[in-house]
Amino acid sequence: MDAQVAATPFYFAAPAERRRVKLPFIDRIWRVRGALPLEAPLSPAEAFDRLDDLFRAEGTTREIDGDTLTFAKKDPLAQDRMAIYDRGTLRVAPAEGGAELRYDMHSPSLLFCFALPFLFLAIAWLLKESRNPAFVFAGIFATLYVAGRILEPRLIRAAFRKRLADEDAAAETSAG
Amino acid sequence: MDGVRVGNRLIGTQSPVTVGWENVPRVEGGPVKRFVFTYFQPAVLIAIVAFWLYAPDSIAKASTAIAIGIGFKVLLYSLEWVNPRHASWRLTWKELVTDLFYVGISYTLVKYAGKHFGDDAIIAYVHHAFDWGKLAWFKDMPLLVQAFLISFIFDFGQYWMHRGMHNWYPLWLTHSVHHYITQLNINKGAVGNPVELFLIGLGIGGFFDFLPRAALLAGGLGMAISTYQHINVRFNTPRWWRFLFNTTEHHSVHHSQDFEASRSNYSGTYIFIDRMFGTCVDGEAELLGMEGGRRMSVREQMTYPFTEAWKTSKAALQARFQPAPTAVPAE
Repeated sequence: MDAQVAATPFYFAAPAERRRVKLPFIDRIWRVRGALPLEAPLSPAEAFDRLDDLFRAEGTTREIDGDTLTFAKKDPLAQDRMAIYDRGTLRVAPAEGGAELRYDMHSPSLLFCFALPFLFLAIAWLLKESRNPAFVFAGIFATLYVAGRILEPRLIRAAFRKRLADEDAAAETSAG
Repeated sequence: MDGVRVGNRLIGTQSPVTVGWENVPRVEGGPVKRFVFTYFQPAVLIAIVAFWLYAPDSIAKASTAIAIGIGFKVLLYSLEWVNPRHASWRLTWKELVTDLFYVGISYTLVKYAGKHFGDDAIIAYVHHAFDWGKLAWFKDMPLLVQAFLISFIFDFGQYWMHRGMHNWYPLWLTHSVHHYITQLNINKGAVGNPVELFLIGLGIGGFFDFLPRAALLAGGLGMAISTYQHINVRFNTPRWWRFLFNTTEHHSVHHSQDFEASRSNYSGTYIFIDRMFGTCVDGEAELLGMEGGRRMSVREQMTYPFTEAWKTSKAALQARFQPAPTAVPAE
């Protein structure tokens, strides 16, 4: 992972009153970051154009400023491919042998799922008669968190790669 | 949209609804696939009834029922994967987490509330207060009749509670959250504000004295019939089944974005209760939800009934106590 991207601080408050809190390791729980080499030589505008359908989903706002795309989502639809994210940035940056897409996205769904085992352990502790089901659900959500933390970044990376590599595929997806 | 006239009502004027079984698509694929998805539901029902009727006492217990229930849900998830009804209802990781969160809340907090403040507590109080004993004659009836009556009485009560939720604003506030789901999957039945989950669980079954096995059999009937309300699987449901029992087709109409369609198919298990009271609409819908299919976050699902109640009460009080502004002609 790119050191510069990894060191980007987590914005803890509303944009109007940003307070930088550095949580370099803990924030991996809810943040998805990565870098994807661009196979074809693409300008930032061309790259964002190919990814456009992902950011046209209902409840999504996006803003492109030069080489950086910033998006935000409110109540994304169930079938939105980026439904687990509520905000993030994508940047086309020069890299060894061409350019790469660097992304950094915030997922309240991952954080929610991470918190659920603790919620159910608390229920087990408070309501002694619900202990067994509470322990079972704590286990289920711990498993689901691990699965989601591995699966979801792979899915979105694959979606980015497919669109960036194949202009026709991106156009088809957009039309469909 | 023109809609289709069903009795006195026009169904599907706001959002597409397929009305009539002849218009509902059939399972596509080879003969084996068509056979499986035609006879799956009746085969499971027969197997479950036979199991609870004939299983030895050593295994006919609640823990076995729970194990069967979990295994059955896992099997149904695999059917959603193999033969989805709609691609637009595909289960995602986020949907799975959200659905299971509500299942978890139901099995712990809501169950706890039901035991201490709900029907269990009320029934215990009434028994104690009047000392009228239980209705012991119930136990002398055949096992299958007892089981059917337990599930029917519960479903009959649930029908009126559910219909009440669609017709009385304070109850609707609690139930509305469930109607914001935009797709049907196993366990979507658990998604809703916990207050509603508590209310819908109220029943009077505890007044009757029945054999424990009858209760297990009644639970089996519920599992093998009403689970299909929320499922993303295309079945060729047999004609007799869909006449008697609630199906995913019926329930998708109930969840349609079309207002008139959503005021139908209130029963949980026995759709003939809806037929008895004129609220049944046979058909299916794909576009589900409220406000054009807006998906509610879990946070909003938790607070919505209360924030809406506050907004409505405030508006009503303002209208009551603040005089309407008088029109001042422009100069």
